[in-house]
Amino acid sequence: MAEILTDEKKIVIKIVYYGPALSGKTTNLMHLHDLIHPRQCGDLMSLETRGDRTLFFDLLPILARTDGEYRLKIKLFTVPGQVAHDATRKAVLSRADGVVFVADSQMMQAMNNAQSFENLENNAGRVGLDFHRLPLVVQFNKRDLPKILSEAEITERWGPTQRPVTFSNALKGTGVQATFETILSATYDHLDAIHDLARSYRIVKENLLAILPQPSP
Amino acid sequence: METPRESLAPFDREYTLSELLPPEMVLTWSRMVPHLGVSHLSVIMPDGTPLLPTVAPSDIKRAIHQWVVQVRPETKVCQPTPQGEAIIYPLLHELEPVGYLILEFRLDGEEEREKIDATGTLLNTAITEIMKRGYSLAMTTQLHGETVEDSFEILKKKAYQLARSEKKYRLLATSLNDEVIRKTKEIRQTQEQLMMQEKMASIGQLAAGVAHEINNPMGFITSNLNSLEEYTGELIELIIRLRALVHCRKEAQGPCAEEERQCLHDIQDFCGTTDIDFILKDIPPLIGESIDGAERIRKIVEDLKDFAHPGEEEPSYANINTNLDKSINIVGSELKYRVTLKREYGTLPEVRCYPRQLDQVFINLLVNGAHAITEKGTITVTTRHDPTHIIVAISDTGSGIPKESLKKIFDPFYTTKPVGKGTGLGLNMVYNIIKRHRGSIHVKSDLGKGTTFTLRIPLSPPGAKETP
Repeated sequence: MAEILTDEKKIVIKIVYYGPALSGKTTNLMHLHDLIHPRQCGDLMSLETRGDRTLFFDLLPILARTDGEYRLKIKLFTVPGQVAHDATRKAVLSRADGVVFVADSQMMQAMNNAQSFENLENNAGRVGLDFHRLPLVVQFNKRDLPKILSEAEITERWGPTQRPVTFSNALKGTGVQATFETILSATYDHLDAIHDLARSYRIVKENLLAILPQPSP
Repeated sequence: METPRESLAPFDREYTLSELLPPEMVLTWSRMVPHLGVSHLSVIMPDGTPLLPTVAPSDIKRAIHQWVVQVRPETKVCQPTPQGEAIIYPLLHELEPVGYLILEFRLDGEEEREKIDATGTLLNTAITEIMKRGYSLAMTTQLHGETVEDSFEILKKKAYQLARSEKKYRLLATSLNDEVIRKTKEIRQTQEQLMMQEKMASIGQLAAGVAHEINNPMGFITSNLNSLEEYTGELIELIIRLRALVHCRKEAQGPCAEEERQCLHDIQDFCGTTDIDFILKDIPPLIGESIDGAERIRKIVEDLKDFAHPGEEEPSYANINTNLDKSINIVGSELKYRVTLKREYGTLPEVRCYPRQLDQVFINLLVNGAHAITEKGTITVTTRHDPTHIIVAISDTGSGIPKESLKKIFDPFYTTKPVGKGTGLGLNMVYNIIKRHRGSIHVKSDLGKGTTFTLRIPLSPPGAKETP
């Protein structure tokens, strides 16, 4: 959907990190904050936390450089994972242009992942998002822990969802960038198809991907 | 999808400077800064609109504003004005300028500029921090508003559903109550019917025996009456002759008239052929026996009547031994040929009970005992009492009850008799009656040796409110 502010010549894209409680959504944002150049990345705002747990949401604003006169702003949100905060989760999910579903790789958490994913699908429907067209990346986090599902098992289970799956250890930062690049790419394709970003606003996919540090040649 | 609520601006929208920075504060600052050497303080939006529209901008200011809108500086800049200089600070929110702070002053040397810049930097930092707080507050408030409204909608829906289901359940509860009352009535009726049937069955069983019992006295009463009829005929004949003699005696003139002699002769002749002496001797015992027989019939009928209407009775005092005798009388014919009946009665105090119901109990147990005896055997009826209970034991030397059946014998409809012969309610009725007396019943049975039923009936009377 993307918010296009013609007066201000600005486009705002919203990406939401969804998933069960304590799966590492905030950790993903923290690591991105460290990765991106401070001139393109604002402060990470954490609204209302209790201990390790997000009660409202986290917000990380990112600016992308473009070739045209339109500026591009990407807002990353996390939802509270705890089941009780469903109303907040639903409100934060509203108007999302892309979703990263952060799952916990531990075998014990398989049920929570499934419940949260189902909750995502339900809430997407409730806030008027077409779930099947919504750009979505599934990130299996905490790959460093013992007793986790193997990549083969995960691919087998999540393959039928037709969603790209990434693997990460957000605490160390592995896989966080790859996940973010995947969702940026998917979101760009989706929005470009709707708004013709490249021709109408001279915004190309590389503008988005350039936010992240590129590997030195 | 739920209907979007247009009234509420989304929490994650782009906020403007006026939403993040309270204009009143800027107004206060603009009044204070002249004391710090600043001639004018203004804050404008990116499109040049002043944050405080009430203060009409001067031409100089307007010129500076226009310049700012065109240039959109991203860092602090100094700009000369006709009256001195202006320092312009971009107000950054999420890396972007959302407005500009402009401080105008007369230039009185480099030192003055540094002083003004210090003030500007101070204000800029404060504004950035205030905006951050304002942003976070605005977002949480909006989000809270959204969730509250959402939760309220959900609650409203739930309340509506609850109200509906409550109504449904209330309706159901009412009809359920009616249904239970109806079913209970139905069951009670069926039960009464079955009890009646059981009674009828017992009566049927007894009828044959009772008929026999009545037939016997009826036989000798009839035979006696036949004899008496014959005797009466003879006596009438004799009386006719005696009357004739008396008549002759009254009419005759002289002694031993011819007719009188003839009458006397006749009487002597009649007495010679008829054994008047025997008749006179035989009549009193015949009548006595018949009265006895009639009394026996009356008694049986009366007992039977008691048995047929046991329901409507008030508790009264009775001697259990007497009741046992009465019951033994009724079932006497069932017992007579195969069964030797032994009574081992103790002296019993009178007890307040439902005597006719107890009769039913005794009859049932006696008949059951008799049925258990296939050839010849004994039924022993023992009574005694302890300080609290009267104890009645009825034991037979019959076939006994198998262990697996023992715990079922008091269940309603449990019967070992062929279909149509027993209702399976006899012992159940016994159990119920004893329960009504707050007594207890105990069975001991040895297969092939016999069965003993022991009843304990409390000496204290059953409750006044208890209805039989």
